[in-house]
Amino acid sequence: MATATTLTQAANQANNNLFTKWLADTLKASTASFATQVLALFDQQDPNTHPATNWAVLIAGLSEIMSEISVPPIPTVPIAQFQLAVQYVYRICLMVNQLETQTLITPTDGAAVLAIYNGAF
Amino acid sequence: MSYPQPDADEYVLNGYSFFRLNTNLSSAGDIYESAQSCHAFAIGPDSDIAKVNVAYFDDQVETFINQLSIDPGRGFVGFVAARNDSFYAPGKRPGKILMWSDAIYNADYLPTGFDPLHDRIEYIPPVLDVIQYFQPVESLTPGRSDKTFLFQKLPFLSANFYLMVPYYGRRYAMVALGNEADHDLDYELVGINFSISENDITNTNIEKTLASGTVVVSAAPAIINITEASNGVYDYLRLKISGTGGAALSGPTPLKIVVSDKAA
Repeated sequence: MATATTLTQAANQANNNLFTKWLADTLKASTASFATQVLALFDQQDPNTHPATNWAVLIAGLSEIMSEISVPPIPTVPIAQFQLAVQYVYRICLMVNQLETQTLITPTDGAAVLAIYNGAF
Repeated sequence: MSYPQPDADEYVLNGYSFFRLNTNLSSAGDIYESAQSCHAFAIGPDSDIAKVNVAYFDDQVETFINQLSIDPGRGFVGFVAARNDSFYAPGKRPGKILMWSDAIYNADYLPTGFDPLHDRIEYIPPVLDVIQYFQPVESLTPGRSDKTFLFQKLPFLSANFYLMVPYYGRRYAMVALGNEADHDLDYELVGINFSISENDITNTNIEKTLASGTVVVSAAPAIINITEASNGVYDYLRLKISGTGGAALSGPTPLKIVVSDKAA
């Protein structure tokens, strides 16, 4: 896993980082963990954070339906779901970066999401 | 992403029969929500984005998240409820309608070899235009309006000037470039399909040169026709202009770009 130092870098590394998880059959757990932590970070009552939590909801939903049947060495998660996970993670990182740029969330929150990303992927 | 985002509730309160989300994208991460139910979704006439995904609450789905896509040729007619009192699973957030661009937009894109000290790049950000109809509609008008980008004089104060024009889902483009400046100019038109690449600078997008040439001073303009059948489909078109032989360019460089959903 390549550690990202910025949210933009995290976004651009999404394909490579999630690819490693996908091959190791840990993509379901990683995406679920990421989504859960992001949702816990932001309060639903704060409309400024909705763009970030909306992506987290989609990631959580995608993770929920990922296959759990392991048939090594082939990854169990279908490639279409893997690519969709990459898209969602790529987009949430860019969205959080945008929210921070627009001062709709604090740099502390932005850093927290980056830390969650690096921990999950 | 425009913030605060346009509010569908205000459209309802003001008696509109539709909610029109018409906004520039700032990144591929832009996502919008609506707390209003509706009878149809359609791509708006001024959208650069060709495909929009819509997520909505569905009791019949394990996660309660169902999804549909619309494009200029295929809207969606049918009642979709915004279940604000229910919660998506496992996210446990209200079941509002969510909308986002299916296409990637890379606002940080730079051409390979771009010199920040001497080159200049201008982006035309893509417009996301989606319409949510609050009343039943018998049919939806397909297609987007043609778009014309017109410049009388490009801000050419650099070694290379790049212009990025959205082209998502378009089937035809015409580029007309004149030269009333003081030197001949070289041009290059490239089609770009964005990818999720690790490095912003050394990009790994899918790029193809569609046309290149030289426009002599006060001579005939360059007219470039790009078609889906002959050239393919792209997210963006990138036009590069430079003075022939590295000459500094000064003077009018009229440029007209037309993009259309209609096949040539």
